[in-house]
Amino acid sequence: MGQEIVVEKKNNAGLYRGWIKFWNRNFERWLYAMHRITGVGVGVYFVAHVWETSNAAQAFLDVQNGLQPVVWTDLMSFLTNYAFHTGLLLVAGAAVFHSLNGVRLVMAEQGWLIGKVTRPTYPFLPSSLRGGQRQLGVVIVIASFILLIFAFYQLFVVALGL
Amino acid sequence: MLLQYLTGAGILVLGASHFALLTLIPGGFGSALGFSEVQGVYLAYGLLFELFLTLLSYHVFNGFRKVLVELRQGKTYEMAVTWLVFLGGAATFLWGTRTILIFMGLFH
Repeated sequence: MGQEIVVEKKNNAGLYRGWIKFWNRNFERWLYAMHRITGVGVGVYFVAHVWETSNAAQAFLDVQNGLQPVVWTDLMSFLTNYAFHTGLLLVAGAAVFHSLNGVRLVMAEQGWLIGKVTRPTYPFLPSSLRGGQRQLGVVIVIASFILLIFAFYQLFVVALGL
Repeated sequence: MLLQYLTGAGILVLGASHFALLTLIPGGFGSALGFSEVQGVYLAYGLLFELFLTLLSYHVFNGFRKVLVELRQGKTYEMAVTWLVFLGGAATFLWGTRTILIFMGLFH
């Protein structure tokens, strides 16, 4: 009896080929990579934000005890500068893109705005890439940039007086 | 996946409100983070912040779990990842809740 040789192949592209190397791929693939990258970025910021605000909580306890919120003003003056506001701008852009693209993903999974199934003919483009979800993807990128400009105005012009 | 979508929808609404609260008030972002302004916002909308924290704690850490499980599979690995993100999410939620209660003046 012959022996069966089982070769286990990795069933995913991994971090580099799966996420980071998204050039020479279609637009949806680019949106997928950006969704993952922005999701992880905003997730890490969320944890950092919970920790950061917990440091400011001492100010509220101080006020309850009749003291001045010195911890709060110190923290705010530490965080109000170009470096931290650049970070906030990136977070705002990432959060907006991730949110709007999430709506597109939910709609696509429900079968909305994806193309109808057709007979496979050259160049064998998947029907899911033909529907309105691609146009929605473009709208999402444009809307994210517009909101990013608004965030830039608030963070740098209004708050820092650029 | 349904819970991930539902929490995502809630985060979209509450996140947009959070963004609006910080930018669309008179004086914009420059005056949004004054102590008395933040105190007033938490006294009025503290429970919404708690809801926002709850939805985010689930969505973010379940998202981390999905990413980690997508990159590598295995029974022990997946179980370890699930427990790790559960503990991380629970810790973040509890620590954030403590902060919100202090901001609302309910924790001394």
